[in-house]
Amino acid sequence: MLYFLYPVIAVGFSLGIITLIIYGLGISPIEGLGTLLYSSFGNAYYTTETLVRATPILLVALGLAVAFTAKVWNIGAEGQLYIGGIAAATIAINSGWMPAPIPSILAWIGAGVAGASWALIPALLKAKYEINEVFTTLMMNYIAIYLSSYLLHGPLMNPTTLFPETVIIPPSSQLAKLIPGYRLHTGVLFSFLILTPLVYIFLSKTIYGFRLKLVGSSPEVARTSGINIKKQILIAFLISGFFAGLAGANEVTGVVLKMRPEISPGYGYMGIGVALLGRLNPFGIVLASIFMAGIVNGSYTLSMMLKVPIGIANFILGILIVLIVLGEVLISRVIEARKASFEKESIKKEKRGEK
Amino acid sequence: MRGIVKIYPGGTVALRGVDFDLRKGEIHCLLGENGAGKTTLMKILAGCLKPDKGEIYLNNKPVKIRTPIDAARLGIGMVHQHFTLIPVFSVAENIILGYPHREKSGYKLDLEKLENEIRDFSESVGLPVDPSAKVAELPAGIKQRVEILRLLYRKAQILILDEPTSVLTPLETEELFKALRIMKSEGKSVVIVTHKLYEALSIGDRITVLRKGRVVARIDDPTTVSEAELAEYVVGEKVITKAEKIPKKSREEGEAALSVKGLHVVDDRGVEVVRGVSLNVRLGEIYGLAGVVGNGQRELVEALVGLRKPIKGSIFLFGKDVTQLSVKERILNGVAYIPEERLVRGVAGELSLAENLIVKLYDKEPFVRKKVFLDFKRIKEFAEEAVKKYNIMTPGINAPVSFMSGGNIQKLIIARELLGMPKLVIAEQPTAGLDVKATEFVHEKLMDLRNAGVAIFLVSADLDEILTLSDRVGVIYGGRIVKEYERIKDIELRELSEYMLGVKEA
Repeated sequence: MLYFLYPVIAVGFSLGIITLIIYGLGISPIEGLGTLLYSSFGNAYYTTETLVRATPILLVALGLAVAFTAKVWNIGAEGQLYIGGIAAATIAINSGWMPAPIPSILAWIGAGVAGASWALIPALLKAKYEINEVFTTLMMNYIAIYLSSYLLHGPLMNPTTLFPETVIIPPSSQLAKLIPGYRLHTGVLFSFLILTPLVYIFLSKTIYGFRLKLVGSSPEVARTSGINIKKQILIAFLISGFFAGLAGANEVTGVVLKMRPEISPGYGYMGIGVALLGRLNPFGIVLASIFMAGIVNGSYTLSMMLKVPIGIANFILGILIVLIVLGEVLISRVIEARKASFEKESIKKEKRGEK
Repeated sequence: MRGIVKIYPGGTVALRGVDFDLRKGEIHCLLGENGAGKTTLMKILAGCLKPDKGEIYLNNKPVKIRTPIDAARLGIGMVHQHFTLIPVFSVAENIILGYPHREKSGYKLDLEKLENEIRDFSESVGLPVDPSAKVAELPAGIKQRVEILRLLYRKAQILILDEPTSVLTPLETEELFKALRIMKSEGKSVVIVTHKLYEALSIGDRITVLRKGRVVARIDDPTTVSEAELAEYVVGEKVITKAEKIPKKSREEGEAALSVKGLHVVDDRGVEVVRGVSLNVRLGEIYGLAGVVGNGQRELVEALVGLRKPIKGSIFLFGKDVTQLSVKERILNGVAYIPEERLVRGVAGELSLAENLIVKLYDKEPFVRKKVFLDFKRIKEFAEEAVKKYNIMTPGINAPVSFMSGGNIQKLIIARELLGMPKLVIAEQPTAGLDVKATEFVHEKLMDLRNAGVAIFLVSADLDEILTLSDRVGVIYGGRIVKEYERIKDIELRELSEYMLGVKEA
């Protein structure tokens, strides 16, 4: 119970901090929070924009939920997203001659595979040489981001505008918009309604999810039970890399319609917080990603209208991650206390039984 | 120390009212088997553990020792079996660690001066070391020297050494004993915790023998006892009083379930700890492997289960060579494993009882549907049945098992291992740390299995257990089977303990 209640408390706490900051800037907290809420869910347009923003975060977080279940701390989703974006744009541009849904499908699959391959490097380093994945994945983000920047300044550069970005991808590779005049696209629908339940089933209903969970909670028991731990580490890495790659494809084929540097305002990092905030449960992650997207969009509006610094979204993200991690410790304390009381009780029971 | 009682969380009684005296200027050996409570008693004296009952007197004054810092203030220091040095620090840094060396220079550390001081000091006490050497680069013997120096440097009057020779070569041991005798002549008191008889006899001025948390012998003059007599104190009179022991049905004819031929296994450090073990375990019998912990049992078991690749030799299951097979393949061939470290290797603490029940068979009928999906209804049924059948105390089948006591966790492990209808059960210290009731339960289960025709390989440091349950007994010492007994009634206790302790060789 507490386990699921805590994220709500953390969210409440972080909203409280936003309020304080807004107040500190001399703005009425009611006006500030009102603007934040309105600009994320105030009308149909803002709501769909929030969902569009939530999709890449959701995709990253779904993959990370798989990795984190096995206690594989892949911090490299941002880089995997960029590599996915490059792959998606390249495939989309070169397969534009095919009929409508095929290029976008190819782009998504290609992006997933590219993201997974990028994740394969730290995965092998961890599985083979036991190198801590936190450092390798984090550092590989920089390699990925600058590598894509190089490609966009060179071979992939738009030849007509000479901007460091690809040309607009052909219409046949663009994801269909659901409502005219809105940016809401099929990728949003696909991610929320198809991929989310799929990951949920994978993690909690199949033997594959069970294996990852066992490896995450006790590698020693997993080994004794005949599970190949290295293989599970690879699987966890590949799946999370695949989903981060999909997030890149989603941005290229559904939102930006080209690949450019800074295509992600940190979705790869937001996904970490969101996966933890959602308790690694895909449905929890849906809620958490929408919340995070609301904060991101809301903070843009806040900064435009009320001159609140734009960095507030990342600020909140940082607070949330710290709170969630802190919460783990607090919750485990409560569990320890309950454990002790149960032990006492059962000893009493056993004694009574003896009499 | 008077009337010391220590009960560990989980209900294990380690010490049942122990009195212990240490005189000024003596070397006192505390002797006993693993699990006798030696280390626990000394950790209490050193402030690492708190006793549940009992008093400690120093120079006839009652003292309270709550922390190792209290102990250090009273001049008591302990060298633990596992070193507590910081590998990246130098010898000098390790020695002054936690012993603030503030002089007029304030907080600045004058390492050079300190190193000279420590060099002189170490030579003066007969334990020379190079104070500027990095601890990580030192051999075990020197590391131990640093630990002792650290205590002496803090003017400790009472030194406790826990199994000090287990990491030393014979030559290093000799040097250590020489230094200890010098300390003794300077009026310091030394306690040596050990399970090696000859050691106690050669260095001890007095010997106290502990068994199962009680003092069973105090020897004021070691020259009056023989090694064999001492062995009997350590191991104790064994009374075989199990009514449920059923005479076995024509055991000789039992088919060989497990057959090990010339097995050599190395441990994590690459040291060969199993050195040519050959044995057979037949269906419908319990083969008890007796031995003091640390004689290669753990690595032998790991090799049998498939967790460790042997460097030489082969393992046969029902006549089939399984030496190269994986853990999983061996499980599917009917091998069940009750591991010693039940909280580390036996169950995953944060997973539920139900989940822990299926960790080995989750991908097999009846727990899986269409080869991929877990059947939670079935799993729940099985978990509830197991709770009822094995009388497991739990807050619920979905509660994390870390809520359960050691005895109940062991029941869960047994329930799980028996789910797969094993033909060979490898039980490693199956009752270590369990209370009497849980121990009885485990024994009954193993006996039932044997009577049902299952082969059981029982590894235990508890001789009572070995003698109560086994049909045949092998004794392991130094990675070799030094003796095999075909019948329990052939066993002469004194001889058995002599084999176990390496007094007598095959």
